[in-house]
Amino acid sequence: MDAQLKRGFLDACVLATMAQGETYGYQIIKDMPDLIGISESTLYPLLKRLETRGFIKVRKAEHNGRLRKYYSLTETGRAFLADFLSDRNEIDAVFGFVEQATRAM
Amino acid sequence: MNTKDYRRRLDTFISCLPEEEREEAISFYTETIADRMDEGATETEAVASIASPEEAAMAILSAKISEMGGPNERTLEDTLILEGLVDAYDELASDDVSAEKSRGFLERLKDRHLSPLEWVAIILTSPLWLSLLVTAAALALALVIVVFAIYLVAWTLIGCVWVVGGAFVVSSPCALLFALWGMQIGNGPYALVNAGYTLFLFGAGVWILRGAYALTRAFLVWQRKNIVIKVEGFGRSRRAKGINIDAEREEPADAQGAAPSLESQPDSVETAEQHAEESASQRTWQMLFKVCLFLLAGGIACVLVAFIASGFDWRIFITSLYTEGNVYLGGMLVATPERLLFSPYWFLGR
Repeated sequence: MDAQLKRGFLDACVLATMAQGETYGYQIIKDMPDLIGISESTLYPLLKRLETRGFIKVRKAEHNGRLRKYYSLTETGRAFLADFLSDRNEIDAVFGFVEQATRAM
Repeated sequence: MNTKDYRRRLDTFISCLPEEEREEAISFYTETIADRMDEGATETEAVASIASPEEAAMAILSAKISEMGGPNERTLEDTLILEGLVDAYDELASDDVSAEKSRGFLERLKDRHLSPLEWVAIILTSPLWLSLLVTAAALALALVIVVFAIYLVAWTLIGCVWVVGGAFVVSSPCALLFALWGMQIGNGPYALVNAGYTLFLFGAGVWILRGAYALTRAFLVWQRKNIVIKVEGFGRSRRAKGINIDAEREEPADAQGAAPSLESQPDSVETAEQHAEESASQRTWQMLFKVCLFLLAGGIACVLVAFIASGFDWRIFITSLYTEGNVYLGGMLVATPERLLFSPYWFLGR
């Protein structure tokens, strides 16, 4: 997928990995769809940004004798995901327009 | 590379960030390394499978840069922080991104296990490489010493200017004493010459000290600009182009372009505030320097006038405090030297 387009979907995908409950860094990387794919160096700033915007909350807990950070959705985060899904019709409309216009090509 | 190396390298690359943020970033990366090891990867594998410290640092820095507000929302402090971030980012971007190349030779050697044959070869060729190594080390040491010596000489010369200026100013009162003695014994030209010396030594001394101050300042500025940067940049001679990072590259460039326009504003405000305070003391100094210039010229004039008045008698320049037990001032024998003002013969008990 085009990098520019991919970037727009990253936030939604990362938030979606938390839809089933709290998760942690490495789990997010494993859970991301292959099409999108993400590395730690992209994930770290992204998580920080999501936290600043109030979409997720962070909690530290012990795991195997070390500290691990767990991320979970806030209400704002859930609302963002709902908005994202409701945009689907508009995105479909855009695709429909591009498809129709290029059919004659 | 193990976790400790990773931590250390990442920490160096983002050293411009506050401690708290560095800790946070580092703990995120070490956590994911530990998670991979929990899944059965070895430490080396786990570290190798995540982004290199360079890439991680660049992503952190560029996210931080785009986080900073637009030019109008930034304070001067923000701008300075931003400049630091952009500098650190550019340094990483200009260096080779691939971790392998920028790693030190010894670090790579540590990871690599040498075969026994290689060890034998290294030991057998030691007379060759060891002597070369010693020569190189000696040359490097010699270079360092030469550079240091030049540096030391430069400072010594500057020190000399200070000493000469100081000596001029300090000896000015001595000349004044001789002038008073000249008057005491009634040797007018001698008194005038020494009065000239007094003025000249003080005026010239102040100007020499002023020059010494300017020299010291200029050298300090030059030193801060050149020497420190060169030492810092010593290890970063490797350059490589064509890096590709998926983080927002346009934004740092944007932010950097916007920075200078902002800088000029607070700068001018600051100088306006300091101006009044500075100019008062500066005016006092300017006045002193001007007066000293007059003293200097007046001193020379006095000496010339005295020389002419004496009928070009060279002896007026001579002060002899002990010639075969006698004191001569400007060619005149002083019959009772113990009567002179602050005379050394008070103490000698002549």
